Amino acid sequence: QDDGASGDETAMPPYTRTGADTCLKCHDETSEFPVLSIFRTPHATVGDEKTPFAGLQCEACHGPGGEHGKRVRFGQERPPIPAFGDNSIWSTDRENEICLDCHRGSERMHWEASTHRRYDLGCADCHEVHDTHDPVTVTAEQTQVCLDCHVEQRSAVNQASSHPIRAGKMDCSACHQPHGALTEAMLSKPTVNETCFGCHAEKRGPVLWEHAPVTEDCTLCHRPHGSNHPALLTKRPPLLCQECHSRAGHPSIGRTGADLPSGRASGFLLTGSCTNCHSQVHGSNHPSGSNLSR
Amino acid sequence: QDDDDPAAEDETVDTSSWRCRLCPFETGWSGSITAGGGYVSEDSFEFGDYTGLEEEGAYPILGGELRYRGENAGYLDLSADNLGLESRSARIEGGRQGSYRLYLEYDSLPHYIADDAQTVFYGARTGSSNLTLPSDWVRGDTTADMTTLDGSLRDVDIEQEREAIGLGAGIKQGDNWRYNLDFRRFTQEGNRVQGGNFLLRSALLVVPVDYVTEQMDASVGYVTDRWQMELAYHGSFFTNNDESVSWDNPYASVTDGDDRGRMSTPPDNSFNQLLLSGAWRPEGGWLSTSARVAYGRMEQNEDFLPATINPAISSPASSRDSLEGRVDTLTANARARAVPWKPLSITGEVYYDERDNRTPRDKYVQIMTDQYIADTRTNKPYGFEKTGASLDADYRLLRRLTLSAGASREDYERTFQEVERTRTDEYSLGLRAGPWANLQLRLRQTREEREAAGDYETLEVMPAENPRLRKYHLADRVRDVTSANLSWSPSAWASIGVSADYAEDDYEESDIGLTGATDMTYGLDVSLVPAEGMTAYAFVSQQRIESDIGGRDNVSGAVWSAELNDNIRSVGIGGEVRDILRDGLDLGLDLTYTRSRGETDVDKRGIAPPFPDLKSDLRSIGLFTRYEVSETTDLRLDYRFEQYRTEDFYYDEVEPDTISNVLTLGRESPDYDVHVIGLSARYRF
Repeated sequence: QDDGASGDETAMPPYTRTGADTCLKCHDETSEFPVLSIFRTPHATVGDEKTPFAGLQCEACHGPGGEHGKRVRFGQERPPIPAFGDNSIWSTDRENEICLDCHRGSERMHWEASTHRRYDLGCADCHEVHDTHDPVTVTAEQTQVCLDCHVEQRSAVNQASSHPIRAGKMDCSACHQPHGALTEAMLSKPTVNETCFGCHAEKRGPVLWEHAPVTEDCTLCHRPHGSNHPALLTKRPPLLCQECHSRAGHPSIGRTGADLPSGRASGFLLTGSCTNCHSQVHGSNHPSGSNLSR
Repeated sequence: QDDDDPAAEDETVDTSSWRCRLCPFETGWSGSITAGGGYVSEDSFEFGDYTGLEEEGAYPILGGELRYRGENAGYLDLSADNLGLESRSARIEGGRQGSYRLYLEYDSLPHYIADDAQTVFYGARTGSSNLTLPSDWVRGDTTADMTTLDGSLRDVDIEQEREAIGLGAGIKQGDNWRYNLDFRRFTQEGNRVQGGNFLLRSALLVVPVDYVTEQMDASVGYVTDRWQMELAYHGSFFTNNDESVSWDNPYASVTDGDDRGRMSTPPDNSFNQLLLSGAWRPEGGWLSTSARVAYGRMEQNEDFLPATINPAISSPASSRDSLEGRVDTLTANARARAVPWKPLSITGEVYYDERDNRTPRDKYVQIMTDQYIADTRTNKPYGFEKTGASLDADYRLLRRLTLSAGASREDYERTFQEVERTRTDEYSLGLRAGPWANLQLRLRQTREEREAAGDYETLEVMPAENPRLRKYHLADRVRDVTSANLSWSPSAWASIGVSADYAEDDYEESDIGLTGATDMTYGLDVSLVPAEGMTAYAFVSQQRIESDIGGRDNVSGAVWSAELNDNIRSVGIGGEVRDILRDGLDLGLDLTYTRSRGETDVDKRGIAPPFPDLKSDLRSIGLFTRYEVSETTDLRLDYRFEQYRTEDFYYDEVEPDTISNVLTLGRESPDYDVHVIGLSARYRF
């Protein structure tokens, strides 16, 4: 929309004569653009002096509608509403300013230099403020909004092992802060591991015998959006472990099809592979647990 | 843009005749109740995972919401979903909009892991941390020698339930002050599978999970149009109600007293953190900045278990009874975006992330798997320090053409690892173009180069590590990432998106360990609004993840190489039609198919038999129809069919005694065909 902004967006058209009553003469439930559901949202709570309907009503957000609302001659195209409408004149940044005018605090603190803002995303690209239940704020529905653009993650959440995203019990904002964060991947918490420990605090430690990559970054072994392998692992043991462990003896042995049940049925390959014995891969607090098996 | 702020115009607008007579403001009580019933055609843990529809039979559909809106912005919202299922949730929130709010919420999440496991251990089904064998158990050198195994196997479900209760409050004071207080308590109960071994002989155990995590967040913020600050506290306290798991050794004795083993469970731990955040943007919109500093402390001091429970081995003297583990974390980030003149914007960032591990180091005599005294080892409290900076510029060359360039550098220092410091440089170029208003194109290319400063020093251990191994998070690496995205709206009722992402990692100095990886994703999306009240969509996505791993048996023996390929394809089509055939009758359909194939090729002397593919195929049909019987009542009929087929050579055909030295649970990879039908009525008031 930013790129497509047209017209003189600095000029302020006049406001309507009667505010929302002018708008609602056309935009009732039978119109092409019904709007009345806004009256079941926080934006139309007149008792709160900061909501649009305690002020400039529809035009608080949509901008002055005097031009858009005036009579047009037969065949004449109706001028667009300045903001948040089809072919709106104002830029995405300017529309966002309207929202931020009231919603600048808290999780929007880092919006200004965020990746979403850099890519010209507008608040209205994700939010449907006329909807009583804005889908992006509903756990079971938010994911669809995000995955519309994040195609790689959509592929991931459909894989055999994933967080409870497909079941509608977890949303993207459980980990990410879409309004901007100073962290990698716009995570809400300061680091990847702190994000994971939010629900998996048992892996936080510190413990006596640490496994170095665990203390560093969970995504060294796990794919958080989904994986073809159990426990969201990037790949299966033993090959996952053999990427970093090649000591003489069983850790270094290349396992092949000869280790399947049709062959020697090796415990170094099948079921949990390395974790059949080294089951404390996230670290052990047992005095004799240095090889992560106690 | 601030000069154009419409709010600045407020005072000049004459709103004296703005009566809002046509505005249907909501006051008083309203809500809806949804009630009905459904039927699931087949037992399946896999199908019911996270949703609670794991059992064949009828289930209730029950939920609803209640709203109150007062004249003075007072409000109350009550909602509840899936009340008849293990995936139930409820929330109540009330307050006065713009002033304060209070909430209480509850959520339950069932996690069904396996319904076909079998174990010989008593206590597994009751959640005991003391697992014992039947009195007539015959211990064997191998699982085949355990002659009473078949008769001792009992079914056990592997499942967990996670419940969360949260409550909190938020207050807005005046135009600027914000206060928030949130408390959450998670409980996680059930069991999980964990290997328990005696040297190279193991049994897969079903061990209890009984965790409690309490979290507290408190913040105070001051917000103005130009700047804001927030000081916050985060506390997280983990408690494990099981301090250890003990189990009988099902194998024949190797050393005196090795009848039982005992392993630790995740210890109680705590995390306290203070966070200070702020943002500032001067007049004119040419600069915006924000920053956050977080200082935290992780602590753990659970009493140590004895080094062994083997009565024949006297427990070695230990210098300490608990770890006194402590890690201080410091994370600081700052970012600024400047627009020195209209077409150019520059974003700069600096960050620092430290894990300062203050855990004391000590020597610990290792009693290997409760069987014999091995060496003495000193713990390695891993820490790191990461420092980085980046600069990105976007230049609007033409009204519909923006060029981007960026560069970043990160230095990563680690303790007790093979490489003391790595440096990573990244460069990127990008383009955003809209040659026509209905067509948007985005291209981005990045190159990242990571190099170790100094030598890769292989850790001195016995048996020896292969000196040519390069651990992939420490190894020199070149990563190229290309992404392309096209969105096209050929008409007002159709939009098409095409995307392609390709990442290639080259570990050019590695020949043992991960040597290369690629990740390719393609996607096509179409969404249509062919007529009023009608929507349709279709998508196809394909992902291929490849990894190459090199190895060598026993450091100097046979060389082998492995190639792993995961191919995942998702296809979906669906749509919704409102007021079909008659007013108030809606119909929706969703069809999806996800096909995953995992190929594992290990080349070792060219004679090894191949691995079968890992396969999973998920086909799903969802159909709903909703009929508005009256202004207050809807009827809804849902039908869902899912077919899941999997093949997993890691588990398939592995009976409890298939592996001579691992007593398994006999689990198979899941297959199911589940139909679910549900009929519900929603009454609105």
